[in-house]
Amino acid sequence: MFSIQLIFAIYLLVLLLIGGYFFATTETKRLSDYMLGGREVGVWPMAISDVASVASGWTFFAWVGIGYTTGLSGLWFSVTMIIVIAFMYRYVASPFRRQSEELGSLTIVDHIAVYFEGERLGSLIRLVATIAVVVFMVSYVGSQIIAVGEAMDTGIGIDYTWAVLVGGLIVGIYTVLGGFNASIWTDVFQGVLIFVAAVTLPVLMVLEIGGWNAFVAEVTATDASLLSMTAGEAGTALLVATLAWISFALGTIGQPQSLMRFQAIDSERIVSAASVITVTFQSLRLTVPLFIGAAGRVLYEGLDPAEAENVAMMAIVDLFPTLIAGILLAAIVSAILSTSDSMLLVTSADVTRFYESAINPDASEHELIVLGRAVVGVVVALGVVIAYTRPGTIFEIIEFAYVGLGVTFGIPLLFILFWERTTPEAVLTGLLVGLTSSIGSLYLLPELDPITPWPVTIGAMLIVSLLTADSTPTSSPAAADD
Amino acid sequence: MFGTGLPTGTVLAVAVMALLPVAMYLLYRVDKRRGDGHVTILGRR
Repeated sequence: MFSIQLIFAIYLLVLLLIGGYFFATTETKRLSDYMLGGREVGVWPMAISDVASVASGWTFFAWVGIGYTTGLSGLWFSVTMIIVIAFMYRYVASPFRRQSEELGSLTIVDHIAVYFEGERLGSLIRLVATIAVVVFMVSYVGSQIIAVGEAMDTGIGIDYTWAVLVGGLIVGIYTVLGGFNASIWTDVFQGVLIFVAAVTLPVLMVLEIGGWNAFVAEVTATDASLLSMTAGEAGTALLVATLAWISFALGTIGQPQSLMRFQAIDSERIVSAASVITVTFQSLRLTVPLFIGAAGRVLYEGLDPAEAENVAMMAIVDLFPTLIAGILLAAIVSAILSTSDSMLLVTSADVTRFYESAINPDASEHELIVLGRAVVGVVVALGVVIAYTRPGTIFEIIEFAYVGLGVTFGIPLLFILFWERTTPEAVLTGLLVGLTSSIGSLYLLPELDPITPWPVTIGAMLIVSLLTADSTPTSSPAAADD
Repeated sequence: MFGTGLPTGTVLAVAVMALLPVAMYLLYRVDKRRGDGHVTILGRR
């Protein structure tokens, strides 16, 4: 156990040194440099960091837990998500990047707000969007810190209480030190390690069971529905379950940390190349954990849903030599940290821009960077509180945040990009309905969660756009160009 | 199906996951040739 802890400590130290290096050597004077790396991010860093920033608590905990409890029917989600990712790269990335540069926007929240800046409701749009991003991102960061705590607890033997605190501190310090440049380069490094872990772990687990045929036979004997796309459901129940997976995956359209990478690229010419790398990695990480979970059902029978999310950690400790196990655990935990730092940067940028726009327009760049770093600290602290209170499984918290972000920001973004009749009233409605319906469906219509927020928000935006289109001539750049 | 022991629907889903990266690569080749690296739609930027 000692050597796993030692390797782990060295890894985290290297992570902090990288953050410190960028802090000491990079002139992060402008806010856009701190947040977007000066819009000069190349193809490999962009694509792999995009993967690493989502491949984390979700991949090695939540998605493994789904493989264990529900089985391969989670592929409904995987197939939908990979298609949505392809759509985003082919149809959204280029116009969004172009529009973002015209507007000088740093994040999706900033983009929506700047787009309607100067119009009536402009400042209200920024306020509601900032509140929404804080609500969902704090939840998201909280889920990642839970995953860090579980990984350290299960894999390394560090008490959960301490693991959560240490993990939160490390990600906070690291993000504050380096900004986006550090984030994107450590993401590349971690993306490679995640790839190694994702490929080797399921192979070892299947071999442990006795090979592929034994895996299929044993899983079928344990629960025949685990290998099926129907999960043993039929009729309306199957329809609702499938729609729920698809609705969850649609959240991909509005993830601020992924959209920020579109804004950060140095040229539209790299989008197509980056899409190949991203789709390949996503394909792997959306499929493999389900098989890890299904294999875990055979190797670790009788776990409850929360324990089931730790199956990958248990298997790493049990099946790999100590040295390798230490490296893989460190890679997974650091990937979780990198996901958190991307989220923290986005949230920090949005709160900072709100301060600059609504409270102190004369704020200096230095003042804004200091404020941005303070926001990182506050969000980490709130995330740690969530990690201690544990309002649900990692999967449940991620699902809430992921769908909420997709509905609240993805739908308005697509309206802005592709429908000229979109009005400020419609966007404000979309933000408000997206935020409230995502929270409301958890409590009012849990059996249809997360399906409901989608038609409700799209319908509300369409109706309000049509009702207000004539009375509200838009002054957006897109309309001005026409 | 296909000797995998998995149900047909599951094999199809895994096949989509495996083939989409290939499709993206082919589209990238088209983009490189006809769009100078920019994303193209039906061969046009």
